[in-house]
Formats: sequence, C-alpha cells, structure tokens
Amino acid sequence: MSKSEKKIVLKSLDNEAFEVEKAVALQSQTIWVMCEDKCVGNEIPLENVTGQILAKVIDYCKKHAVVDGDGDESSEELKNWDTEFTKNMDQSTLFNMILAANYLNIKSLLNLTCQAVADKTKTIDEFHTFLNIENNFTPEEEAQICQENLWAFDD
Amino acid sequence: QEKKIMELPHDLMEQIFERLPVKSLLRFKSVSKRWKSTIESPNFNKRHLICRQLQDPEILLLDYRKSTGTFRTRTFVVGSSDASNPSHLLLIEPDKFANKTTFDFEYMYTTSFDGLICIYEFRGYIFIANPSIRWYRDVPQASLQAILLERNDGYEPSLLGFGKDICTGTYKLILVI
Repeated sequence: MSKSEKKIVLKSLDNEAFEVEKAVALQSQTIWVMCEDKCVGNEIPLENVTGQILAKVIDYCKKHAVVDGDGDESSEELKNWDTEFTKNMDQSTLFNMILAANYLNIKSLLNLTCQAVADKTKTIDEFHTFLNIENNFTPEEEAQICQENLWAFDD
Repeated sequence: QEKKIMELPHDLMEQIFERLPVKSLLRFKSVSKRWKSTIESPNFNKRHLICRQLQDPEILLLDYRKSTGTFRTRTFVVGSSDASNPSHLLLIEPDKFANKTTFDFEYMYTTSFDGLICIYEFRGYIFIANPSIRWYRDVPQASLQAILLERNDGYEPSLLGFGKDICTGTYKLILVI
C-alpha cells in the first residue's frame, strides 16, 4: 500500500476538505462500506455534513482511533474526554452531531451525543423548547396525565 | 426562530428518549400525544430497558424492619439514574403497597428482573412491584399455597423464584416446595 492510500480526503457539504488517516475515517460504517465497495476514490463527498460539524466528528474519530483497544486507564481517560467534548455544545450543534453520527453510522458517537441531549433535558419546559416538541394535549388531558404520575413531578 | 430549523427525525428522538431515566419518561408522557404513545409502547420499553441495563446499577432498595428497627439494603438494576441523589432513593413500604395497616411479620423479596421485583410473605401475600414507576400488583394465592396453609402443620415453604419465560416473554413465579 502506498503512502497516499493510507490517507483519505473527506469533503463537507460546504466544500471544505479534510485529509485524514484511513483508520480514522473508517470508524464510520458508511465510509467503510463506500471504501469496501470501491465506489469512491480517495476523496469522499459527504453531502449531509457541514465543515464545522465534520471537523468535530473527525476530532472524535482521531481520539478514538488512537486509544481503542488499550487498557482500563485509557478508557477512563477517553470517557473524560468524551464528557468534555460534548459539555459545551449548544443544542443545534448537538443535534447536528447526532444527524452526522447517524448518517456516517458511528455508533459510539451517536450514543454519546444522544446521551448528552438526554442529560440536558430534565423538565417539561426544557422539553418543549430544547427538543422542539409541540404540546397537543388539552389542559385537561395534560392535568390527567400529571395526576396519574404525580410523584414524578416533584423534584 | 432557530428552534424551528432544528428538528430531529422521530427515530433519532427515540434514541434520546431511550437514555432518559424512568422518572423523566413519566413526566414527558405529557409532552405530546405521539410521545405518550411511544413511551407506553412495549417496543420502546424493551429498548429503554436494554439501554438502561448497559449502565451502572441504579436504585438502592431500603427496607425497614419494624421488629428490629434496622434497615436492609439491596441494589436494584433498573430505575432512576442517580442513586447519590436522595430523591431517587425509594423506600419500599409494604404497608402502603399492600394496603395493610399493621405489618409485623418478616417479608422476603426475590432478585429483581427487568426492573420488576417480587415481594412476599408466604402466609400473607405475594405481590410484584416495579419500584421505578411505583407500580405494584397483588398476586392471587395459588391453590397449592392455600392447601399448604390450610394444613397448618408447621411446614413452611418460603422460597419463591421469579423469572422470565424467554419463549413467551412473560414473567413467572416459581414456588419451591
């Protein structure tokens, strides 16, 4: 295998190009399948992911490509890194990360980002605003459901 | 305005919901009709259970013995996420569960399974509880149990097993004679 074959170029929706090690990119099942089927050259266009998000995804994959398969101490370190990684992301970044992880099929990243959203969502109000879900219950229906599980509503 | 733009497909939203603690799920049933039916569906519950079981054991069961004035503890596999938070600790009070005013005999419980636990006192009652959602149901007396109690010859079968029949997906109690 020549040197150039070990690298791969990922191109974002807004035409930003990222050159990465193949081992890093192949954590994405989607990219793995593309490469396996030889349906792409060394440059892979990713039409659902912006450069800003792709950069973050690559950061994640780089970190996880290095540490994978090591002992306990590094998995602890990796966990801390993951926590830091999502800690300061705002709602739209997190959602975009979830969409990207889903599209690129990176299970562990999807796991991490979904968990991060779940951890940030505790109250009903947070739900309506953060997760953008419209309430279509009548006030009576809503009161009825609250009544059934009253204990779950006290903090 | 930005909020309107960001929306996740329902299947991805479900993946987020799967990672929520039970208490939050009960609250979020009032979020919308679609989410209420999703949260209540057996399929979602199954995935939620699998997801929660991948995490650390969660609820600590405390039971208070009136006779000795001591607590017994047991960890519980599925439930609220944060056992260090006192509001997530659940005190099992069979008096309340079984709707009995006095409760002096010793009760036993089985190991927990899929978040369910069986609490019983052979001569008195058997019930299945799901402490995470504070649900319980009395189990009617088995005819064999009634016969043994009727005989009243000092024989005390006190072992009860609780498990899941993986063929039918139902939960069963096994009485050890």
